[in-house]
Amino acid sequence: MDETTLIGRLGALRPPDAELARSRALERVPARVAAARLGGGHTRARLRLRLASVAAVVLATLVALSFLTAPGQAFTSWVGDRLGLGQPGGHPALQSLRGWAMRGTGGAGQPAFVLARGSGRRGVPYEFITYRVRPQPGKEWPANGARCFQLEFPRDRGLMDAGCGLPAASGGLLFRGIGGNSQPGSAYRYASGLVSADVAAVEVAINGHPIPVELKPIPASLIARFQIRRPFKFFIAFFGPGPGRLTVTARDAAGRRLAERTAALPPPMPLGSVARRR
Amino acid sequence: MPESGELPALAPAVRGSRRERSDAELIGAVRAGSAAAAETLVDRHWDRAHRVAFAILADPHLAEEVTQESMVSILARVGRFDTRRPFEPWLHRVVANRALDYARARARRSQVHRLVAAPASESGSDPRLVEALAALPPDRRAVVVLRHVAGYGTNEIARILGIRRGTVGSRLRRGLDQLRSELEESDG
Repeated sequence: MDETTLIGRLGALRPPDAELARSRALERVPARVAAARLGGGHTRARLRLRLASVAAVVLATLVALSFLTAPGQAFTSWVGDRLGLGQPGGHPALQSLRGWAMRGTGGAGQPAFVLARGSGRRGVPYEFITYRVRPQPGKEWPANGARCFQLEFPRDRGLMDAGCGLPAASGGLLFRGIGGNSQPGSAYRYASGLVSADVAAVEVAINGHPIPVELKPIPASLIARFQIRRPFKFFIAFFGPGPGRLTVTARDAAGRRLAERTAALPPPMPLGSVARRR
Repeated sequence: MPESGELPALAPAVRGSRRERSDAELIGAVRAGSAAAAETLVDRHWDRAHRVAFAILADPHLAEEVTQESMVSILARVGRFDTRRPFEPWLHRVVANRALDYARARARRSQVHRLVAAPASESGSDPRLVEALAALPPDRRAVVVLRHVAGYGTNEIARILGIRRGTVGSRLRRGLDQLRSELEESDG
């Protein structure tokens, strides 16, 4: 058979009862189309589901941005303040992050509470928090249920250990070291520690030049509530980068020097969010 | 200035009132909920779409069902259709691919279906040709049908089936050769 004949036969091919099929289609298809379009509820439900998915992705992105960008972190801090997070006596703003950061330690899963809060250089918020170490069999201190402390920076998602000890009852100064954020544009350093309740002032100086210090007495109500052995105060001083010699002096109400510690300021830290050097 | 008797200002309007509405206009009306427009589109495009489905499937009942389903699905979501593009190739793309899906699924169970020959009354205008087409592999059959039953060119077939132009050519060549030998055999 030649190809022209074959192609001719293909072109002439018709289904059987084609006219009947056509009339059935003319009767059924428009009605089914109308029904499908009226029943667009399915389509609308799918559309709503799709919109909800998009909204969830946008929300997740915003949440991620809130953790990663300074404006986002400022916003979440503001929201946290409105919700009462990070207030003295309340839970810390980084409660969820603590769960992750403390994994595998005696502090994992232990409730934490804010003892003091404030903001330092460039408005960097901080929280001084306490938690009780979970008793761990076979371990001595501090796994005996001791109360420990932590300095947290909600905006920078930083959790810095502040030890488990208290300063001496009188004239005590526990210097907890120097830390900081080395991110360009938001870099800062801090020096912090604990002093006894009889300390009226803490002075921090770098190469002899005094810098502002925040001294926060821990309210007696919180000391009692968290069964802390004795009252104390928390101090923190923020300063910029650069090497030098740091001096911390604790004075009584009469201005007498009760205790003094010195430390060499290391050169600017390598890139990173919050780090600490003793 | 026009010559005597012509009314240039009115002529287009007169022609417009008599001319058939374009597919794009009908689609716009279907979007607005017109069942009459849907009926006109079905009436206009049923034959070729039905023939394509039948030639690929070699089964009149299934071909009718596939063509109806394709038209319903297209017209129900006609809001997505770009009216600047022609309607018929879109319809044929849906019909051909849907028919091809059925044909491929059936080819996987070919031992069963080869035993069930369609009665002559259900084989349309050319029972031997339908039988010979049914013996082609579905992918080859679709190309032959789109070329010589629906009348599409190589580029359009490649677009409709989502394959390369070279593949269209080779499937068409082999399909026609096989079809000819099948027919020569059956015609004796």
